[in-house]
Amino acid sequence: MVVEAKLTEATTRNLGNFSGLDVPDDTLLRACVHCGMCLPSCPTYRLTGQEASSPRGRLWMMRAVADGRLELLDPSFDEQMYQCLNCRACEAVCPSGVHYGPLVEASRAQLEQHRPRPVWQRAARRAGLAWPFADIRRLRTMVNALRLYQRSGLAKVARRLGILQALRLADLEAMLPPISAAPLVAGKERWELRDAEHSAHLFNGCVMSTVFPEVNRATGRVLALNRYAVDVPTGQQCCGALHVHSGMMEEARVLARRNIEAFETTADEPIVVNAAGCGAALKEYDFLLKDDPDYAERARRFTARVRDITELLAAHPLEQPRQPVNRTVTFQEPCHLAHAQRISVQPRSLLGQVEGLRLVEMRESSLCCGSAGIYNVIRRRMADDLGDRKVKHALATGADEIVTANPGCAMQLRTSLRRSGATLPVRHIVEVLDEAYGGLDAHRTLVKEANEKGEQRRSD
Amino acid sequence: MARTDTSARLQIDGVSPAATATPESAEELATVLGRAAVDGATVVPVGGATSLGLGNVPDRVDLALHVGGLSHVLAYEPADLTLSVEAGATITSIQATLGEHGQELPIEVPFPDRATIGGVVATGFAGPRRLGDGTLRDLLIGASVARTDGTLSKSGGMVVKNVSGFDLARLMHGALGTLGVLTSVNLKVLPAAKADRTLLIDGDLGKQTRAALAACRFPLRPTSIEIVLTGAGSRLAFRLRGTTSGVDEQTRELRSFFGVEGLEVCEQLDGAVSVSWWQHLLDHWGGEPSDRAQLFVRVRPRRAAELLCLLREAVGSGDEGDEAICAPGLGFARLRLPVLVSEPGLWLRSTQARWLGATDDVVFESAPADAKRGVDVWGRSPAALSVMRTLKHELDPSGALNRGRYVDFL
Amino acid sequence: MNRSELVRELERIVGAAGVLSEPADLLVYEYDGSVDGAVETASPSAVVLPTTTAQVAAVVKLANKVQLPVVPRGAGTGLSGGAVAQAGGIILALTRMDAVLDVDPIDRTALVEPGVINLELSEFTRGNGFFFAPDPSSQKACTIGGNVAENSGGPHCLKYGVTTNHVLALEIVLPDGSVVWTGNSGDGAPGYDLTAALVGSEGMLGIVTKALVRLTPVPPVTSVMLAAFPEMDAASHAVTSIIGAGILPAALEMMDNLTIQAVEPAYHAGYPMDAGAVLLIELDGAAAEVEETSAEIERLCLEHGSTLFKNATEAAERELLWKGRKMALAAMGRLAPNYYLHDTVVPRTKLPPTLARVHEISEEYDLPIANVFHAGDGNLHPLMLFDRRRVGDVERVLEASHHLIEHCVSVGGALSGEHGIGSEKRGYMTLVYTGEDLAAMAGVKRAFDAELRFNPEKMFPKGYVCGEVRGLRAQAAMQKHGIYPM
Repeated sequence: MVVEAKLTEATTRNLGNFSGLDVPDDTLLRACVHCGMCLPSCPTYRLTGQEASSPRGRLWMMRAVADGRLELLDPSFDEQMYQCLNCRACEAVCPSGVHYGPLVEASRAQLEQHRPRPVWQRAARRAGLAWPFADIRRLRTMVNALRLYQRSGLAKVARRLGILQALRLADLEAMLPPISAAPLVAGKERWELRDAEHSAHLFNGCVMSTVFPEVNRATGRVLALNRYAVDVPTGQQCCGALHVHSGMMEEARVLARRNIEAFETTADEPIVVNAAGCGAALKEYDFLLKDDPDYAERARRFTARVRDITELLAAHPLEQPRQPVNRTVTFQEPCHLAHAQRISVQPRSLLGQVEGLRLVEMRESSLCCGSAGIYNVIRRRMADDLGDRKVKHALATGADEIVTANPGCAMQLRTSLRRSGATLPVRHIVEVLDEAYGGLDAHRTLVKEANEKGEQRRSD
Repeated sequence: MARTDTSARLQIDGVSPAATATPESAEELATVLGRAAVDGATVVPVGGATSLGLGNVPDRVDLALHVGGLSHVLAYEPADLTLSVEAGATITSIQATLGEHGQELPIEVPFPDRATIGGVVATGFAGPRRLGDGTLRDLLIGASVARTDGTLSKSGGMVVKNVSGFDLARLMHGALGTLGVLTSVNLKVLPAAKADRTLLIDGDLGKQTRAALAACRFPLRPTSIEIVLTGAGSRLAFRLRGTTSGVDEQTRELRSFFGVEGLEVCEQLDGAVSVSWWQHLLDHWGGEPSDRAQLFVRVRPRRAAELLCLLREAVGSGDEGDEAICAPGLGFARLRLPVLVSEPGLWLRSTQARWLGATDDVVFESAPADAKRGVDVWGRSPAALSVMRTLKHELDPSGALNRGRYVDFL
Repeated sequence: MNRSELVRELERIVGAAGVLSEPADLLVYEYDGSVDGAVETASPSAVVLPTTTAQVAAVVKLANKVQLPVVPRGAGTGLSGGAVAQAGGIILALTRMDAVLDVDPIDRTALVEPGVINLELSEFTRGNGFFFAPDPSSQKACTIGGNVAENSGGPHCLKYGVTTNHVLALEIVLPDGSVVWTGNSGDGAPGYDLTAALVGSEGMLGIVTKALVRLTPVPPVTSVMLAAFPEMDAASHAVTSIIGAGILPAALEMMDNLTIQAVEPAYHAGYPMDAGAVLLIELDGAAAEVEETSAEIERLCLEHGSTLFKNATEAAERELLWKGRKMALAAMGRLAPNYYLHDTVVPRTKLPPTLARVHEISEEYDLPIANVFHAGDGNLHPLMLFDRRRVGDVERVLEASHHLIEHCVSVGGALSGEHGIGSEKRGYMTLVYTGEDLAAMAGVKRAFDAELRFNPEKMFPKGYVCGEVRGLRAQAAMQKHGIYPM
């Protein structure tokens, strides 16, 4: 897929050494008064102690580019724009309310536009990000191949021969859970019990629907028990978060438009998402498409409907869980939940309602684990350091299990856990709730009972 | 006009000042000091003359510069909780002024009716109330200082928070007047405590030590915790100050704690009786007896139990009058020992060496002059001595002030 | 030695990862937390991030050899330009020296490296029942080393004192590269109290590489009261009467109506929107004492016309009340794009006339000024609200600032309560100090740093040559006529 950006006068600007599409917003940029309150919240600053690795430093660099004092293609600027995890922890603590995320994303978009890249690199990026994610079916095919690799003896052979180590893919492989045989295909499944009072539409997600489809199914079940009728609208695509993080704005916009169209048929009912990274991206479609005359308003309506699963569930008292979960868990806050969406209390309150479950907080629970989209793939060293730091704090709590709410975090934690030699399970919060409701078996019984009652009533 | 006379009754380690001056204003004091310095004189600033035993033996004293003529309250606004007072005002007079408005300086010193505020700053006195209330250093917010070039310079101000320029006022604390002569100080004052109570516990030193250190860890730490050691035994003293209900609550908690520790309160003193018990203790230890040496020693509080064992050993169980007082929570102790009359100098040196081996700081607060002569009574030289030397040289280039009496004979 | 040689030498000391010298990397060390316009930005020649005292000492020795200034820096949250290398040179960023080396529960002390973050020290020691009392608004980010340099305060300094009351000893690197401990201040250690000289010295005397700080026990009971008043004046008098009654609260903070307008809609702290001013009063101590004193404070507030009085004893309630105060600066974004935060102190009893003067200045310069401050200490923080993109706004703010500072000094106040002089207020030093006063301070500077190696162009008035007082007298005379050299 080749995306041709539609350059119009409305969408292109010049600001110092920024030019073309997606120029960082000058007003947002100047909202920073360089007070420095963001520094300790920034994972990369915590590791390096360098001002340039801090949100304040990066904003100052952006301002210098905007003022024409620094070249856009200065290597240090490039380095910092991509060293940033875009975890948004700085936004949550900023006294001046600076919207950091959109600024770093715009800067990356600028670099992507203006940076001369070798042809092979462009092709590789396209192959890696643009091509598989542009159509959900392509990704499904790839993940199927991966599943076959896991299932066949090939994985064992490769491990034994050290091929993975040689290719530095060992950690990458460890990230992945055993892949489910049945990806969740939009339009094919729905969840509803007889007492349903509300409707919700599941955002299926690319990784969630293919690598973690069982988490999506658990989401459906938990919602159904809480009186929601849940479906998975067809036509939806990858959310585009990874593209936005990488400065591939036009590719992201294409995906965003298709998702907006896919959900437009379902009135104003909530769009529920269980991957924090996707949720944050969906909630920013309005910003992404603000200059698109055809989609700006539609994006605003879409954004207003998006709810994280914990946000949706915590809005009402939880249907009483049926069986105790006698474990001690610690909660790893996904950045895109805690910082980008400011959802921090809700998951904890949901966990608090599960009988038998004890929640112990880890140190620095809101510091990024290093996953950050594809950061752990492209910047291994820094990501590893952050992952190890996170696992150290998690292990120090003595918890039996780490609970999180984002596939990227889960994969990153598994890798770091493996490095540390610990065998703690990492689970999505929805899986814990589903377990408390009795899981799939209990759900089947309920559905059966409901159907029988329904038939009885009809026969009365 | 300054009264100058040569009839010197006052002596510093047996050395009589050649002349005495008692200026009546800060400007006059600065002028006198400036002139003396130009003449190459050695000047000893004198407040209430209650701690003249502190410091090395001077070679000569050309001028005893009394600050007693400067004793006015310059500014006191009770609602601001601040006081500006001349350096020669006595502690008693200051407390009386503040007392009229229900306020106080949370310090107590030996002989407060003679000791001057300038003198207490210069000696850096830290007594039993240091534990709960700190020292005068914590209350200093500004000062005016006469320098040997004949000028007056001030720092700080009359507000309780101030970051503008170097903190010269606190630099004067414990400097024994060797950098300049305080002419006035600005202080933070506090509402006076309404209740004052002392609990006295006689008994086993081991148990007393444990109890004292444990009590130091209570969130509401007593104002003072001291152990007094004599040949006859040891006595643990707790002092509580605050509101009536607060002190009552603290007393209840402490009494039940003592019960658990197997200790019994043998005496409870309240109000004025409590206050005078501590004043008596202070006066006793501020007495500078002529036949004994008084040492101040200090360790990190985590070594306080060890220090108490050493003190017990040093004081012994005889009736020679050896005694010690120790604040375990601070790691401070003072002890009095008889001087070997036949070899006083040798005795002092060896005593100093012995205690330096066991503690972090050893200062002879007073001793007979013939024992002190030639010895640096301040004990171990501070690590930053070179900076101290240049600091002294910058602020007192001719070395007029207390020449030779300070650390390392500065 | 040329630039690349210098960088090579520095790398030899701290390793390549600890030296920054690319223009873009230096660019981000041009500023600290100070307001644009009030402090000039300046770029250093190199930034070094040492990890040990020995490295700091070696860098200082090298700086001596090549005759370059050295500027220490912590988190760079300072508000007076203290961490900006005004004369160029090497910035020593101490952020990587961030270990808590020891906590002693009996001595109630902690031994820390300078890069330890203020709030994190309190969090670290809370398990032992302690906290570090100085709590500047930037406590989430600022470092202990920076607190030492600026003698930082905070709301709880009313009862607990400022940084200088909580620092017992310092390990410092002197300008000649030697390393010394400054000794236990006020604790009977012989020798000059160099710790006192170092605290608040704005990085001009020595580089702090370790600090032995005092820890304060977490009080058994804490209670926070909110009192609303129809006018600022009534609230000011209530403050005076509380202090006059012999009560010393842990904190006593005031917010005016403009601040309430910004804060309440954002955080719903429960401040009445129509109040002219609210007071936040925190008490701590023994349960009985807190209860008794709270009742007395309530009586005094009502006596002074308080229209609403709330006493929060539960942690969640207390936090909500404090949240409004602590986030006040953040909420100002709702009123204007920029603010200039002032930091002057007046004697507590001079608060009413000073607040009246602030109001006058606000009208005269057509600048909204919000007041949110440490009333118990008389430490004002007028926030001048402006928009720096509007032509002339910055100039008006600076001019209004002159008048504000002049007034505070004229009623016996100080130039800075907790932010320091730095480069921001060096021109004002002659308003408060005579040439003789400054000469004594210059003597202290020379004793430590005769070659003016550490943090030059700070604190002392511009063009100040040690001992030369005539220029200063002229400047002071000009200031009397409203002429400023800035």
